[in-house]
Amino acid sequence: MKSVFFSGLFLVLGSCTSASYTDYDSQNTTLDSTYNSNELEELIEPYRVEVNQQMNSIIGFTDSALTAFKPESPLGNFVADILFDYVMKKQTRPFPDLKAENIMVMLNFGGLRAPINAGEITIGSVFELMPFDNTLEIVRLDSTGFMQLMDYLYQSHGQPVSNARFELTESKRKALISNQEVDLKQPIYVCTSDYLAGGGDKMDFLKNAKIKWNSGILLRTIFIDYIRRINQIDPVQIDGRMKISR
Amino acid sequence: MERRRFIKNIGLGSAGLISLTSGTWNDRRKKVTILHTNDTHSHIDPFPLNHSKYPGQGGVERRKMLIDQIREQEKNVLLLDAGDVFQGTPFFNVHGGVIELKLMSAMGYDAATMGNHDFDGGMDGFLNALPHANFPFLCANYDFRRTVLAGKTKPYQIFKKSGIKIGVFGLGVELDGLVSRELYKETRYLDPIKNGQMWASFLRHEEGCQLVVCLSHLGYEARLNDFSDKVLATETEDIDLIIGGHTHTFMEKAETWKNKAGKSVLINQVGWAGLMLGRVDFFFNDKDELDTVSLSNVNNNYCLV
Repeated sequence: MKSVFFSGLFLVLGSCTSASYTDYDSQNTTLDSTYNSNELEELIEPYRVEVNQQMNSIIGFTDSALTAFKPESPLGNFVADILFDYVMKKQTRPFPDLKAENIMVMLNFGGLRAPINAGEITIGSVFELMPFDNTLEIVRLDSTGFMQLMDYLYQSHGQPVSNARFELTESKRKALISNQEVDLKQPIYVCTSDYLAGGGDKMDFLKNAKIKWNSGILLRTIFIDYIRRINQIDPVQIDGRMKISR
Repeated sequence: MERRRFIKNIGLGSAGLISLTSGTWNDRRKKVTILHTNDTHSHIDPFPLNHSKYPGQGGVERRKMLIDQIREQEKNVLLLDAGDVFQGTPFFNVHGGVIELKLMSAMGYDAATMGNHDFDGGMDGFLNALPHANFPFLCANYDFRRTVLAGKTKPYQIFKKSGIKIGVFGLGVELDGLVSRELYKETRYLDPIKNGQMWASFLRHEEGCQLVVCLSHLGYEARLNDFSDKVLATETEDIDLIIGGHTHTFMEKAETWKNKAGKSVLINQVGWAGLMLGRVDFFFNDKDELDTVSLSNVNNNYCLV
């Protein structure tokens, strides 16, 4: 009865200006093992079976976890070094003048989506690390582009690189490729992902480069093949390849 | 004037009656409980026990259990997500986002917005998964008219809980430089601050919403672009709560900012991967409402208890 009366009153009053709340409370909750049920498993199960079939295959082993952090990290070095190894081992080179002395690898920390945990490495681990269907791309930079690359590395507090060493401060840009001073009169090749080559993460210096070559090979496939071949991953060191001081 | 006072008095009288039957002052305050997630990134299972950062945490079962518990205790619950539902575990690579949306539907989500990774399966990928969501995707600053998603999302949704009108709208991050063009195709990006202000004003003043919530995938702080939740909070008015995402920012609870008009606006975000459930409770207090002598206060506190 009451509610009928009150809703009648609401209608009479018609459109009214809106009031707002007078007080609030907020508390976010971490979902740890305090909360548990298995109500959703029935829904998930058929999807899980198919995922597991594809993902649970073991491809290698690591004693220590590989994690990512700036400016330089074991995971960043590991994946960048795999790509450098891949490009150097390829029988055919997309550019005739491409050699160890003028190519470096650069990825982005944002693209490494999960650490590789200690223990068995499965196909699923690599999917979690690199869920995107990104392909390997090589971009040719001129000196302007390479200076912009160093500015980007400085401003973004470092990114995963291979075959290169950087010492960057506000006023100084120092780079070695294959442990040699970079010759800015010659082109420099950057091996990266198609996402970054297309200007992803605002890497405009890659987007603006005129000469690029796409391998069509998924980065994930390159990682999986490498880990399968090596099987036991040696501990990955931080070797000071990315030194940034502010 | 006389009539207004008369109605107010009736209201007061009725409130007295209700308070006699329903007990304490606190029981009469209406409460809207907003629960939320962001950047769940296809994390259906808890992290493995050997995970270096979050061993054994997260997972949809736990999320559902907590949500169900809260729904048992609270009458007016809204469950929202601020985007990046897709991408992050093989579930997405194998099934294209279908199971993520099925689970959100089963948990009773009321609305979500799209994050940049929700474009990772391309426009067709999102379109194919979308029928498995029984809740709307709210996108107020992506113009999809020249894409297959035309008409598949909407800018806002209004919910009514115990008579309180809650307007929810969604804002997304700029896709250029973040998502490959082949994935987002002819999607046009619209200024989130201008459009956010426009929809917030519309919901507050045209629709008369007592609570305006923005699901934002702009990010807590600007990274490589100009917009962020902080900018949205301080350069607009009429928004009560910004539920953030994108930057995977862990917050213990919502924080208060001052909007352009000097009023409070809350920002809350709960990291990523479904590791946390965010919660903000709003109270609608009749004492305060009577002070402001607004007719709607009568509605809030007496008509709609």
